[in-house]
Amino acid sequence: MLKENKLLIQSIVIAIVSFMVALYFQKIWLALFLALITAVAFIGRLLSMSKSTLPNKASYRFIYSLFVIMVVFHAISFAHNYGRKDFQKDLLLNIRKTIEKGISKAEIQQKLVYVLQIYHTQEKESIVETAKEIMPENFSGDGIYITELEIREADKPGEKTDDNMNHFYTIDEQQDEIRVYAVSDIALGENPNYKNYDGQTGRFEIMFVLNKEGVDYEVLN
Amino acid sequence: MKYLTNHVTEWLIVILLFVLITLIFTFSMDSHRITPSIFSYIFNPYPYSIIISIDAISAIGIFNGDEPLTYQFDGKTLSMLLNVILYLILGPYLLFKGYKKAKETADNKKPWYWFLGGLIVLFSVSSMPIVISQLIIFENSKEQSMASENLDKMRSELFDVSFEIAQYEIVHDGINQSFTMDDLELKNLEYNYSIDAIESDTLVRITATSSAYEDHKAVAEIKPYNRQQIKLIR
Repeated sequence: MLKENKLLIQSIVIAIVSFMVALYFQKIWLALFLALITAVAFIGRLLSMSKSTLPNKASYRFIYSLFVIMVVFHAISFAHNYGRKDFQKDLLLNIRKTIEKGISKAEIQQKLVYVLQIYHTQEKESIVETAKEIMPENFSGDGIYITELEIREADKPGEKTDDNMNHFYTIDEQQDEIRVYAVSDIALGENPNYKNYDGQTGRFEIMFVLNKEGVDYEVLN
Repeated sequence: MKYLTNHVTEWLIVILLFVLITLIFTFSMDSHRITPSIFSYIFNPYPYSIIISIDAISAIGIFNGDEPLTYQFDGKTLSMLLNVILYLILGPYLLFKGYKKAKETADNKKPWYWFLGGLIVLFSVSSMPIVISQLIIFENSKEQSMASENLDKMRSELFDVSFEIAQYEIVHDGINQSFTMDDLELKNLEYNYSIDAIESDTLVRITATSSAYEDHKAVAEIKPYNRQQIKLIR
């Protein structure tokens, strides 16, 4: 068999096998990289054989330049696309986090500030008691905070729209303080190993604290 | 000299074939004889776009709360392998074989597979301008997403500042005509704030602006004694 035919078959087999194995393990970029590296090695070997095969130096230079341009182009394309592989996902997850943070702040923080306002204007004795009086529907009794969306859904059983956020609360009667936690099912937090309040790991989590000094929040992850 | 003329003529034939085939495919796609998606997968000299498109669909799914997609052994992923073999192995091989065969003949005449190899290599090279334009588009969309992220951050901070104002009134009874933003003693603010209007202690309107993006502006109305204290009006 001719040297170049043998090289062709070898290269195709290596490209197919390495691509398939890497793809089987869900490493699609590695799969493409291995196929490309095989192709580049093939082109390199072909060029080294071309010196004696091509009719003259001009043809050799032309083919050499053409193949080098192709290889450089693919190297740049691979690097650029690999560099932006997570761009879209990160962007969408970031948007999701912004939306969830905004919704939590708009829904929970406003309600807690309203409790604070009633506590101060009506000179109530306890923040916790004021909250229980004003927003009893939000406290389920087992530590789960019922959001306005869930209350609205309960009124209209046909309309189910999961906001992919889990809400919880804790009440400290002695400190006269309420804490509300919101944990996302989707958006990721800064620390991938963070243990969320609801048992998940690495998700976005925000905590609101209401006491007589005011309402504060902290992004826990 | 004669060889050079022949060589240029042969490449001109390849270019002519390239133009002809491109026109035929464009016409066929326009008249719906060939589905564009099939064509774009089978003859795609730029296989990276396939992974990017799969990842984009997966990202939209994740955004909606679905599980991320897994990479399957399907037409899309296997077309990437096909294209690498076609454009970077078979094309150069046919060109090389054609040159070799031509050298063996007395008049240096190129066989049919040299033209086919040249055509494949030309298809591969022809995608370069498209890729360069894609790089430019990507940089522009990156810029746009940064601008939109800035606007989101500005609105988020405006919300925080507005809550501080509402609480300042509720807890300290601090809103009156002499109220200024400095009274809040807020630190590490990223954006600039100005008070547009104070109507007794029941309504304050503030505006946030960005130093980095001069056209970015957000306005909030604060009504400390309402159930809904903050309203973004721009």
